[in-house]
Amino acid sequence: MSFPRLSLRTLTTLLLVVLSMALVLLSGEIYRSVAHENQRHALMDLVKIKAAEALSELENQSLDIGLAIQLEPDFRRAFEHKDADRLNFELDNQFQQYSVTTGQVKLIRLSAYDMNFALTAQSSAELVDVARNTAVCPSLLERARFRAGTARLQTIAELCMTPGGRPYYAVLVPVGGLHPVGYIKVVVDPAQSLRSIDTALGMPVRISLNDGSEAYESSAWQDQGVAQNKLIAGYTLKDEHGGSVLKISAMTDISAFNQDLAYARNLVMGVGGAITLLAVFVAMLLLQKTTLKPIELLTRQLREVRQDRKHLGEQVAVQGDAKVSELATVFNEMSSDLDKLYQKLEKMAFTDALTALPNRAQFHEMLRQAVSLSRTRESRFGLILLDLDGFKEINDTLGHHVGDVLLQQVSERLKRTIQSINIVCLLGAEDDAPHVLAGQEPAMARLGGDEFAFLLPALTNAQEVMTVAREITETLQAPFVVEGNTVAIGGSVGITLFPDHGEDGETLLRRADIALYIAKNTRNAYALYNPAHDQNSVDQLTLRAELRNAIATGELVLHYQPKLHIKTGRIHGVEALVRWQHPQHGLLMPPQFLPVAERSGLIGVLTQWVLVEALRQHNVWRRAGLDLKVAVNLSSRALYDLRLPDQIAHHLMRLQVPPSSLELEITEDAIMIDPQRALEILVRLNAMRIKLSIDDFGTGYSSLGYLKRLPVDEIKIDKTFVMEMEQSRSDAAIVHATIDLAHNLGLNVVAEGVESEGMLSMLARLNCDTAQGFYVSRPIPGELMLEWLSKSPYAQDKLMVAERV
Amino acid sequence: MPLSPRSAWHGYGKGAAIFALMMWLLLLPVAGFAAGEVVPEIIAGISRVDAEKLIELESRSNLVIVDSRLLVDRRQGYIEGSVSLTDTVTDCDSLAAVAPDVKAPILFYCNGPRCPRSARAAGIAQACGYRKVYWLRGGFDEWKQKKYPYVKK
Repeated sequence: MSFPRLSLRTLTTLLLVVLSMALVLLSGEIYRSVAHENQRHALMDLVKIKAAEALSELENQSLDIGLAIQLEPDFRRAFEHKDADRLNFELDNQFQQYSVTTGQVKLIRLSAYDMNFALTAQSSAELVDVARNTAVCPSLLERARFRAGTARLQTIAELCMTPGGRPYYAVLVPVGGLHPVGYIKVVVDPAQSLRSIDTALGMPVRISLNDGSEAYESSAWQDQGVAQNKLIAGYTLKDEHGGSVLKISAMTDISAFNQDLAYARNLVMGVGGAITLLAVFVAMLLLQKTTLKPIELLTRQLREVRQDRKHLGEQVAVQGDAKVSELATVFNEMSSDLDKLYQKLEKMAFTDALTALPNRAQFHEMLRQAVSLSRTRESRFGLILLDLDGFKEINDTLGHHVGDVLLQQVSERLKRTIQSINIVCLLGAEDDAPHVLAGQEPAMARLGGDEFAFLLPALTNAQEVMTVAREITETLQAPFVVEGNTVAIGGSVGITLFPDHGEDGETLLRRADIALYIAKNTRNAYALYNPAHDQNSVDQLTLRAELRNAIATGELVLHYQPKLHIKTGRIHGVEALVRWQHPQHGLLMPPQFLPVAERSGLIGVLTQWVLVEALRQHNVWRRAGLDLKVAVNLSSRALYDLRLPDQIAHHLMRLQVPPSSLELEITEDAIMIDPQRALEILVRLNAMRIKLSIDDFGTGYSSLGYLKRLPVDEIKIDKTFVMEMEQSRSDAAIVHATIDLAHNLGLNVVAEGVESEGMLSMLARLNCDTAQGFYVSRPIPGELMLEWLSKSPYAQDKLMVAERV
Repeated sequence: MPLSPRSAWHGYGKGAAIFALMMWLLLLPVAGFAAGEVVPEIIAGISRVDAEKLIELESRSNLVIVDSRLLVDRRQGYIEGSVSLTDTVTDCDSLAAVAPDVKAPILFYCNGPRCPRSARAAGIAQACGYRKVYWLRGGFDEWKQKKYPYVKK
């Protein structure tokens, strides 16, 4: 579990707990005020009951007074005789008596009424705010007046208030029992009686009048502002008309109650907190189960996928709510899609896009597997490397598109060949041990360019793989037709066997490459690796790498072989021949490294270098007063390079060499690769007034008839004919005929390989134009040319002049 | 706790039923003592009246009002014109002393509806041959409650 998630979860929990605590506190506060309000109501009800009891008691006491008075014989007599004076006296008398004897009741006034509620007598005590002749609580008499029947016998009482704001309590008692003759009204002070409420309640009480003035206050009473933990409830006593008369307030100590409340609140908080924590815990568990756990699973899967892509596409089973399930579904879908995409990419990475064959990387893997499999089974397998011959030329001359299509066709044809081999293998194996062959089918890959590789598992001997190699090369011999072009192509094959030629894939591949190289150089279609020529091959192979540097580091040099103009006896031109001054191997001749240059694609660069160097040398000679045409050999690849004419023109212009001073020698074979195309290029070069020469004439299959169409200036008769000329009559005849024919076509003739005076004189007789060979001179470095020429009998006139000067 | 032996008999075992019966028997005299005799709502042949009926009867007839309470209770106040005759001393002779005419209406009251004295006395009066026996079942409580005048000495 990571820290941030823990933090968030804890934060949520804390927040919930704090919220719930706040809720509990708030509800506790609300409960407290409600409880207090309830307490106040309860206390108010209690005060109400006690006040009612007190008033009832007061009524009874007043009634007792009223009953007692009428039992006085003197009073009764005066009342019956309606003796007002006597009655007044009696009432005063009674008033005095009850004022003294009654402790709780404070008598205010005694009045006597007749049956019609007319005042007959009244006690004489003066009242503060009521005039003597004004009735106290007149509404009591009004009520009494409107009674009928037995109700007239009833005692009635009422609380009332004078206009001055003083409260009174009046009780009307009938005089005369069941046969009333009049009424006595007893007026008392209610506040006096209500005081007893404090003892009845056991609480401090305050009785206040309407104006707020105090009528009574218990000694223990505290004002509200001062009171701590005190609850005050007030009850207002009202008169018959609903007007308030006085207010009774009671005060109770609620500290114990508050303590109970606080205890209850703490309990609720504690329990609530615990329940909340529990709820949060359960919620977290649920969240964990339904959301966090599945997300954790998905995250873990992501991490695993990141560590090892093999986990891509694995489906994660997740249980959770709808949203999480959806997430998991999308996750799984995405995983599958990515897996497919990744597999596609992987396939692309290991597949050659052009031929859909396994590529080099995949082949290395296949080879590695074949090695480990064969090692455990102690079986043999063969590795074949195939390199197409002349593919570069086709690519250069017909364009890359044709080259690509050709490669596809080649691979298709090779596939079929391999499949047929496969069938043969399986058929052959059926009788013996099919299990040996399980999962071991011949495999094929394109390593890049025009290079293919084959794996032939479960071989028993070298002969089998040689057979396959032969089939492969023979397959390629039938020409291909690519977009209307009939293309003849060959292939060279190098073969190695596991474990005979190497214990590991790398060695096998390297040695197959050597074998391939041997095949190329020996012009055999295929070669089985042979440790005997390993060293040589290795040297050749290293040349490839070294050649790249040789051009840059100036290890290449040009030697020039003079051409003798037979009729004039002068040297009028030279043929530039490239040499490689190798640091270890000494001076290397073209056959030793030109094939390497051709195979490794360096021939273009090499040609450019030779051209520039030859033209540079020409300029050096010219500045020394020597005018020598320079002939440069063009390989077939260089010839079909479409950029060549422009490049030559560029060099000529840059070095200020007239085009007529440059001669290009092209072999007959090179032209015959694509005669049509060759013609186009030669026409372009001829238009630049560059001399063109057919090299090695007579070795190929071209006819003079064909040559007639070419814009060439001369032919060079191959030295094989010239060298045999003196011994072989037929060769001499060929040379003779060639010279004649060439002359008839307007071509100059150069004889190569002139090694003796006899040959030279013979050529002179045959009207040959130019002689070239050891008899005239070996190829010599450019800087020695002047010196050689000055000593030779063929010096130019100009040179002679120059020397004289 | 159901005191009925019947329900106890059904509800509990034999021992429990006997225990319940014993409890019932034990409580019986206590209950009778505490509540006195059960005061009937109606007594056959006796007119049950309220305070207002009493006043009406008193006003239009020569009603004899008998206070069947003990003197201790009477001292707290009594209906004006009533005669005191405690039920324990009520018999045909003592009744004849306060109401010689058995055809005249006679009314009995005591403290209140829970007081059996007036009912008992009324029954005795009926047995003694009084024709118009009235019974203020609410007693002095009702009277005082209704704030009718009374005498207190």
